[in-house]
Amino acid sequence: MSNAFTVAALISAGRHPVSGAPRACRGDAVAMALGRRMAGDGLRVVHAGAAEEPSLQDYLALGAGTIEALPLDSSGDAVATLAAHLKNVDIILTGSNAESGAGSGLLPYALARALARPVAGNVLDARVQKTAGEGWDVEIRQFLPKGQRRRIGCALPLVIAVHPRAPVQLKYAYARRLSGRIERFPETPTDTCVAQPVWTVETASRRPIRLKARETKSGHARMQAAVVAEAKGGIVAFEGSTVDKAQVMLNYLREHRLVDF
Amino acid sequence: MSDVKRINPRRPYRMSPTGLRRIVLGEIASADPHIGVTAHETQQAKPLRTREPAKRWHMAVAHSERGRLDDHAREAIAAASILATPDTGVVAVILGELHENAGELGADKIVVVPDLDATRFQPQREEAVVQVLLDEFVPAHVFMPDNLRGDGDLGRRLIAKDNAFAATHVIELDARHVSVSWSGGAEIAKAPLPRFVLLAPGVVDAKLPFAGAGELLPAPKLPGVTEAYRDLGLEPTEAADIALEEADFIVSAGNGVENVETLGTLARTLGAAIGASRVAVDEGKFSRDKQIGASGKSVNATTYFAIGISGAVQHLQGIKGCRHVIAINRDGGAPIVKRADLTVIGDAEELMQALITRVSQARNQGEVPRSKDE
Repeated sequence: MSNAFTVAALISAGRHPVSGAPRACRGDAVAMALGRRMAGDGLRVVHAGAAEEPSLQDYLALGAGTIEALPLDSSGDAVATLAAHLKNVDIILTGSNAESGAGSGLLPYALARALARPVAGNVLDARVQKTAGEGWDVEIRQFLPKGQRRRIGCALPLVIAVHPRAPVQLKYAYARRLSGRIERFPETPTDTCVAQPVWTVETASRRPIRLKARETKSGHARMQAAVVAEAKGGIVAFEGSTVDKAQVMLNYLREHRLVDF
Repeated sequence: MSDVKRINPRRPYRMSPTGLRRIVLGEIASADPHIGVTAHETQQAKPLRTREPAKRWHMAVAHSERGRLDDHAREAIAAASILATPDTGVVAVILGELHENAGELGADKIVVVPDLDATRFQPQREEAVVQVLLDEFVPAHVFMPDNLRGDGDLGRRLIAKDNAFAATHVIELDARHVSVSWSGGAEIAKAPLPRFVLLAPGVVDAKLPFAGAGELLPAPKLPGVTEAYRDLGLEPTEAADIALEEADFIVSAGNGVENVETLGTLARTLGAAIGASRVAVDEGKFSRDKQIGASGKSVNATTYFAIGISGAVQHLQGIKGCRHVIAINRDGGAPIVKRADLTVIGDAEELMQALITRVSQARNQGEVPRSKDE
C-alpha cells in the first residue's frame, strides 16, 4: 500500500503496575494497531529510549515490524529528540498515557507544540481522505464521556493521542517477535535545557489525603452537622394523585436541568 | 437530693426522616416532623473567605455542563480557594453557560464565557480566551479538573504552551506539594506545587465553610482565531445502545416492576438506558449485562431512576457515582428513600404510565419550562 502521507506511532516502555514486569503499554499498542490500519506497511514505529528495552520485544510480537530506537542524551528530553526525528511525518500517533513514570499524557501536546501542528486527544478512530485539491484530510472520531462521540476534521500534519478504548484488535504472535528488527539510531544532541523539578518517588504505602478546608466550629456546631448529615435524604412525595406525582418528577428534572424539554 | 444529673425526658427533639427521635443539644427545636427532611434549607449564609483586597490570584478553569458545574469542576474551584491565603483572590473561569452561584463554591471573581461550551470543539479559541485572562490576572496557580470533557485537553494545551513544569492527574495536594501516582499506581511521586495543576476526581472536598465574593466579570471578547479543526458535531447516539457504565440517564427496574414493556417505553420517552437490580435480573426479566450493583456494574449517571427498587446495600454501592437519584417505591421506609434526592411513593406501574403521558405531552407541545434559577 503506497501512501502519499506518512504515519508514525510512538511506543514507550510499559510496566505491569503490580509486578513491574516489562510489557507493551496497552495505550501505545492500540495506537500502533490504529496506525497499521491507516498506513499498512508504511507505518513507522518509533521508540525514544534505549534499544535494549525489554518491552520492545512485545511490540514486535504485536506487529511493529521494525522499531526505530532513538537513544536519549543526558538531558533526557524525549520531545526535542522526537521532534527532530519526526519533522517530516504527517501523522504522529501516541497512546494517551505512559505506564512507566508519571504518565502525564503531556507528550503529544508538547510534541505538537514543538512541531507547530494541531493535536487531537482521546481519538477512537481516524480516517484519511483525499481533499478536492491534492491535500489530505483526516476525519477523527473522538471519545467523550457519557457515551458521546464527536467527529472532527483536520488537515495534515497532525498529532493524534489515541484513547485506550479504540476499537482495534491486538494479536500477539511469537513468530513476529522473532522476525522483527530493532534499528538503532545515533544519539542526536539537543540544545534544549529545561530545568525540571525532580519528582521524589516513594512506594505508595498510604492512601492520598483529601484536601479539606480548615473549619473552626464549636463542638455544638460539629455535633449538629453530624446529626444533619446522618439525617440525609431527599424530598419525599407522599400525597396527591399519580398525575401530580408525575408532575413532581418532571419538575425535579426540569429544575436541575436534567432534561431539555 | 442525689448527685445524679437529671434529664428532662420531654426535652425538645426533632424527628429524622427514618422516624427516629433526635435530640439536638443546645437547639430550641419543635417536634415538627418535617424539619429533618428539609434540613439543608435551614443553613445560614456562609461567611466570606476573606475581606482583604487581592494582591495575587489563583485561577480555576472548567467547563460547565447544562449550566451547572459537576463535582469535579467544583473541586477545582474549592482547591483554588482552600489554598489561597487571605491576600489571594480566586478567579473562576467557566466555559459554557452558568446558572448557579459560583460565589458559594469559593470564587471571588467569575468569568463566564457562554460561547465556549463543552459540546463544541474549539480548543484554539478556548486557549486564546484563557490566555487573555492568564495575562490579565497572572495567577500564581491554575487549577483545572483533569477530565475527558475538554478540561484535561485544554489544560494540557496550556501546559505545552507554558513549557514549564506542571502536574497532571494530581491525586494529593497541599499548599506546597502535589503528588501524582507513579508507574501505574504502585508508587507515589511528590513535587513542589507547580503553576498548572490538573486534578484527578475526588482529590478535594468541595464542601467549604466559607464563600467567595462571587463578583461576575464581563467575558473577554472572543479573539478572531481560525481553528485548525473543523468540528463535525456530536454523533447522534441511541440511549439504549450506550454501555451502562457510560450512560448519563438510566431508568432502572427492581422487584416492584411487573411490566417490563412499560419500563422500556418510559426509557425511550426519557431517552434513557435501561438497568436492573439483581432480583429483576434473577427473575429473567432482564439480561445479566443490565445488572447494577455489587455483582453487576457500577454506574456514574447524572440521573438515575430507581423504580421498584428497595435499595439493598449492594445496589446502592453500584449507584454511588450517580448525582440525582429519583426513586419510585411503594414503601416509604425502604433504604432507597435515604439515598434518593426525590422519592415518589406509589404504585410503580401507575406512576410510570403517568410519567410517560406527562413527559410525552411536554415533549410534543414543546412546553417552555418554568425558568427557575437557583
